[in-house]
Amino acid sequence: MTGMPPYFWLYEAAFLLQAPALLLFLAYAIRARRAFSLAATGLLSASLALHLLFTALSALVAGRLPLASGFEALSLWGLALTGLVVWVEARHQLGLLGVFLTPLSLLTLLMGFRFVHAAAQPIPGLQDLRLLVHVSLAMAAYALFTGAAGVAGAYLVQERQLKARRSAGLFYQLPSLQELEGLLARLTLAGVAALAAGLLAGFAWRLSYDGSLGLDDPKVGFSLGIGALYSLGLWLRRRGAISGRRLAWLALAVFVVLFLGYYLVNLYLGGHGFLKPGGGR
Amino acid sequence: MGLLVTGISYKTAPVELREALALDGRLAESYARLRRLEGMGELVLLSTCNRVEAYASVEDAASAEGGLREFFESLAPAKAAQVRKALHASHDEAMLWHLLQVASSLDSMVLGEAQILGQVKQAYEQAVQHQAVGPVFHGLFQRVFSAAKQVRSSTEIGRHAASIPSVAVQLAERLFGGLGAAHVLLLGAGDMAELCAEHLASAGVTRLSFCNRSQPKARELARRFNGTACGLDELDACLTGADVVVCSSGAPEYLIHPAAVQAALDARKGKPQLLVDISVPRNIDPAVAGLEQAYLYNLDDLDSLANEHRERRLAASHEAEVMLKHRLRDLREWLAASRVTPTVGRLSARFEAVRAAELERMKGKLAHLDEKDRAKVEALTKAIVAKLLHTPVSRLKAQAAKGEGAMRLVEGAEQLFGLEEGS
Repeated sequence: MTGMPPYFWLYEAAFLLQAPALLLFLAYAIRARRAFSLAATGLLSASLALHLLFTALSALVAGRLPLASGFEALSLWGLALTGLVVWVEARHQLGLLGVFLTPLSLLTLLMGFRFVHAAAQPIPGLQDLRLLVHVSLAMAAYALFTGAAGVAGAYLVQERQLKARRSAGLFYQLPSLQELEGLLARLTLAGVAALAAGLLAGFAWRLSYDGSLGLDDPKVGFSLGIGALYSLGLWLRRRGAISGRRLAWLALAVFVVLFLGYYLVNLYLGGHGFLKPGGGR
Repeated sequence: MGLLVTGISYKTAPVELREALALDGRLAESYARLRRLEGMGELVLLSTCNRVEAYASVEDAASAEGGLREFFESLAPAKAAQVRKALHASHDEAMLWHLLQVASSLDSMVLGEAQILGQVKQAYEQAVQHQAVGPVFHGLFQRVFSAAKQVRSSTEIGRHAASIPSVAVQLAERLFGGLGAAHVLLLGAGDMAELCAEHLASAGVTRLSFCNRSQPKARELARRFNGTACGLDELDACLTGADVVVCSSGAPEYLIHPAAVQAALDARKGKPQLLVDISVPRNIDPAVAGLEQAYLYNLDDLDSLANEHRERRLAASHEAEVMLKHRLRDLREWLAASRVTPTVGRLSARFEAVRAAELERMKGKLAHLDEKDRAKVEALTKAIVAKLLHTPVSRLKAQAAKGEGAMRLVEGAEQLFGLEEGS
C-alpha cells in the first residue's frame, strides 16, 4: 500500500471511533451507568462496521485478501480484536472488558499507521486457500491472546481489591475471580488452537511451495515459541501448579513478548524468510 | 378527584403496632370495608413488616381521610390512641412523592433494599384481584414501577450489601460467581453459626458443613440444614473441600493456622478460598491473609465494608431523588391529562357521530360515486373532523398539564358541545 486509497478514511474513522468508546468504558468504570457501556459498545460496533467495509473494499480493489503487508496484518488483528470485544459485550454484557481491551485494539490500529506506507509483500501463491487460512487463523489467535491479556488485567484488578479488602466501583462491575480465570483460560486455549491450526495450514502450504516446513523462518520460530509459552501456562494450570494471580501475570507477560516480538520480527527480521530476496525456493 | 395515602410505617410506629395493624389474613375484608366508604375511588392496600398503608383516589379528601383513620383504628381497638398518633397522611402531589419513594426503597428502613418493589407490585396485583383498581391507578402504578426500576438500574442504591452477613455473601460471589456450587464450612455451632447458615442457605448455598468441638451440636445443625458435620480433629481435612470458611467459634485461640490453609490450597490445586472470621477473639491466624489465593476478612473488615456500602447507598439516594423528581413531574402531567381524557373522548365521539350521520344522510346523493371515490370522501370528512378537533383537544390537554383552570375549561367545553354525562 504505497499510496493512500481514497477510502482510507474508513480505517481512520474506525480508529477515531475507538477513542470515545474507550472514554465511555472508563466513564462506566467510574460511574457504573449501563448507558455508558452500551454507548461504548455501540461506538465499537460502528468502528467494526467501518473497519469491515474498509477491509472488504481493500480486498475488492486489490483483487486479493488484504493479508500481504504489515499494515494489513495489523488491520486484521485490530479488526478481530474489536470483533471479540463487541461479541463478548453483546453476549455477556460485562461492561468492563472494554476498559482493558479497547486500549489494545486502539494501539494495534495505531501501529497500523506506522506500516501503512510499506508496500504489500508479493506473497507467492496468495490465492492458495491454505495460506489464507494460515494468515486469518494467526491473526485470530493474536486477537484471542490480546483478549486474554485484557481479561488478565481485569483479574489482577479484582484480585487486588479482594486482597486489600477494598470495594471501589470496579469491584462490583467485574465478574468474579473464578469467572475471569475461566474466561482467561478459554481465550488462551482458543488462541493456542487457532495458532496451531494456522501453523499447520502454513506448514502444508510451505511444503507444497518449497518442500520445507520453514522452521528456520523467524516468524515461524516466533509463533512456535509463543504457542509453546501459552501451552505451558495452560498445562501448568491443568496440573494445579499455577493459577489465579500468577496465571494472570503469565498471560500478561507472554502477551508483552508477543506484542513486542511481533514488531521485532516484522520490522527488524523482515518477517517470513521466504519473502526476502533469495529466501525460500 | 384527589389522591391520598394514609397509614403507619416504621418511622411513626413501633413493631408491636405494625404487627397489630398488619392486613395479612384480613385483606379481602379490608378491601370490602374500605370500598364501601363514601367517595372512595380506586384503592391499593400495602402491608409489609415495615408499613401498613392505604393508597386511594377519593372525591372528598377530608372525609376519605377520616374514614381511613377510623378503619385503621378499628384494626387495633385496644391501641386506638397509639394508632391515631402514629397515622400519617399525604395528599395529591405529596402522595405521589411518597409512593415513588416507597417503591424505590428511599423510604425503607434499610435504604436500597430490594424487597419493597416486589411488595408494592404484589399489593397492586392484590388490589386488581379485589377489583379496586381503575384506569388512574393502573397507569399510576405502572409508571411508579418503571421509575423504581430506573432507580435500581441507574444508580448504585441496591448494588452494595449493607449488612455484615450480606457483605460476606457478596464477597463470596466476587470470588466464585454464583454460590449454588460453593461448599461452605462453618466453624462453631452457636447462635452466630446458625444465623450465618440461615443467611447462606437463603443466598443459595446448598453445601454446608459444620465443624465444632462438640459434635452433637454440629450434627444437629447439619441435620437442620441438610449438611455434614465433623469434629475439630478433622478440621484440616474439612478445610480442603471448603470454598468459604466462616469462623464463629467461641474458642479463645487461633484454630486455623497458615500451614493448614496452605496445605488446603495446595490440595485445591490453586482454587481460591474465602475465610471469614467473625469470632472475637479471632480464630484464624491473621498471617493467613498473606497466602496467595487465601482471602481473609475479619469482623472489622466486614463492618468497615458494610459502612462504606451504606455511605454509597446514601450518596446514590441523592441521585435517585433527582431522578424521581423528574418522574414526579411526568406523573403530575399524566394525571392532569388523564382528568380531561373522558371529556376529550366524548368530544371526539360527538364529532365522529355528526360526521357519520351526515355522510349517511348524503348516501343517496353520493350513490353515483364508485368505491374508490366514496373512500376518498370518507377520508376527507375524517380529516376535517381531526383538524377541527386538534386545537380544542391540544388546548384542553395543555391547560390540564398546567393545572390552572383546567376544570373550568373542561366544564366550558362540555357545556358548549353538550357533552355532559348522560346527554
